[in-house]
Amino acid sequence: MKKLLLTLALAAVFSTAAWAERAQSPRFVPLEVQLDSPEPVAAWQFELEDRQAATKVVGVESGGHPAFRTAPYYDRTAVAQGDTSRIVVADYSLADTDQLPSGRIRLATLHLMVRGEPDFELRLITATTPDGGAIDASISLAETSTDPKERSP
Amino acid sequence: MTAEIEQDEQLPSALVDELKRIDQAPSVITSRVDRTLSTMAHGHFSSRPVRRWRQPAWGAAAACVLAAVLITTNPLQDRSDRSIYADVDGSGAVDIADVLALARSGQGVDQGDLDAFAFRLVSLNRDVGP
Repeated sequence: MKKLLLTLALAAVFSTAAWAERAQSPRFVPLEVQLDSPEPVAAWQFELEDRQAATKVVGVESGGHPAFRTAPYYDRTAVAQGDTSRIVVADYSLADTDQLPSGRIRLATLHLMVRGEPDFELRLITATTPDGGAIDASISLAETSTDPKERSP
Repeated sequence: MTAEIEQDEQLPSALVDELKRIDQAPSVITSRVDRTLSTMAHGHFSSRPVRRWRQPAWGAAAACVLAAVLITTNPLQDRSDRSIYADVDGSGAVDIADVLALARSGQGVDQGDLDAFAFRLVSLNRDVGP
């Protein structure tokens, strides 16, 4: 009986440890930062932070819209070092108004290394029209779809 | 045989005297010639106007002061580092909209300066970024 209890106790301890280790093992998550704008967007800037510091930003990808073809501005040194759980991303375009995106826009895809349960805080710093007018837009995070058709900007 | 060889190794005295005479430096510049040339030179240069060396000294001093000011202040660096990093659009905040406004202003701001402005906005370094 004592041996049975001891065996059960050891099994419980090891299973708990295994579960904890799985929870803490890093996983790579791509997250899309999306903007809903009623007007054409010529410049945008946002900040993302994990209040739990369980996330490290390891890559930033452009949203893919032709008006924002090049990689956005972000702290490349911090991302290359892979030790930041906060990032500020921004970009602007000098394209004509009819070539600028509006509606639901994918601003960027953030590649994150997550260990544990993150608590993201996403803040839209600014979104402006070509003449500098502030846009009443909303920003959100979305899991990246694996379907290539759904990944259009 | 040996005495004949030894006798042949000595040059004739007449030849030696002639060689010594040739080896002497010719006396071209005599003291009289030297005095004459010196008198002529003094006469020539005394007739030329005297330059006022005090005027270039002021100009050199001003150039040194200007150089010191440029080296210590470096206005070109200050212009790209401080003057464009500002609330260009008057929104009350310095953000990417200011970079856009600057790019569209037609002031001919260099793309490198615009990029530097934008990278400064997104820097996570508390001493540099927003």
